[in-house]
Amino acid sequence: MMRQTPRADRQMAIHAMLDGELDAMAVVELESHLRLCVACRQELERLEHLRNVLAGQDLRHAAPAALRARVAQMAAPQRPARQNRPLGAWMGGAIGGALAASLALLIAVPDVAEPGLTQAVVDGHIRSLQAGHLTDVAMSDRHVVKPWFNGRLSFAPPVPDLAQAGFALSGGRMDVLDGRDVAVLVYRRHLHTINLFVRPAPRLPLPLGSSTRRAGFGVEHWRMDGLEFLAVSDLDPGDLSRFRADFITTAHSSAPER
Amino acid sequence: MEAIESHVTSGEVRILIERLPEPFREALVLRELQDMSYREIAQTTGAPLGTVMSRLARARGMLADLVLAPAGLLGDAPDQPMTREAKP
Repeated sequence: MMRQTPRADRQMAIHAMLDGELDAMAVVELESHLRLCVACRQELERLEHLRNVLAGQDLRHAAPAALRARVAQMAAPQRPARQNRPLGAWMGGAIGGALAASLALLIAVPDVAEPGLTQAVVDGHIRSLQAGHLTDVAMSDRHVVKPWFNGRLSFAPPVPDLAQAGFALSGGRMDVLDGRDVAVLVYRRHLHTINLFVRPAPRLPLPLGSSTRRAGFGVEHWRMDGLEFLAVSDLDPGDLSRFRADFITTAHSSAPER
Repeated sequence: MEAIESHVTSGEVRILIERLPEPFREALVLRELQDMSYREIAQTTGAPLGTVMSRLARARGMLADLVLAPAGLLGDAPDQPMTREAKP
């Protein structure tokens, strides 16, 4: 089957979503469009696949040791990320700028993905149900749950009230993901539990907007306001997607109180 | 939907990225390695924000066309850089 090409503006929006450059409302809008547009879905799938291919290869050893060392020196800690610097500062030197740039990319790309993350959150979800340690603070009032995290974490997770949307807040707890403390918000829908893991977005985050299933559990992943969210539940996939959309829109509509 | 497969090795991926025309490779690397925002890339390269977005999209598009191409195509790839950016 021939691959269809999305409209240019949609195409750039898909890239922006993957790069975390699209605001939450625009993500929700684009996701609605993706449900209807085959061309855009194919493009998203293609880009995610490209990212997986790059991440799945051991490209660290693709460059000769001397060149890797040179690139590592150019990306040294004295020049942390998220800091403007002259292009020539790391594109120049003994290696030509173009070659240095491409090698630098190859060394960085394998760190983009976290292959065990989905399994880790599913394991955390199961553990919380089995061990009876679902919540540290069992409270349906978000004005109690949200302050409970103060002093326990270096970030403040949004805790929107989604009761009207059919997702009742049940409480929150601390958990560990990838060796770091994370916040977990617990919501319920009928007899189903949703564990929502929240942590600061990594420097090289996972692609936005992923939706996967593992061992019968759905995992929705998104980023918003510098934080990364992973929702796990045995809910129907459609309900879990709706939880994600409701969470984003409600969190933003109640932003002044967050 | 059409199945997507990749047949490239690490070395081939490196070669393919090296063949990306300079402005596209530059945008891609600044985004992926330096974790720069689109606005920061625009400030660094002096290109308008829309151009940065367009270059990133094209860079990834070109790479995807090659990385996800059927087996055999890579061996026939030309040595010279791929499509250049259109002059404004």
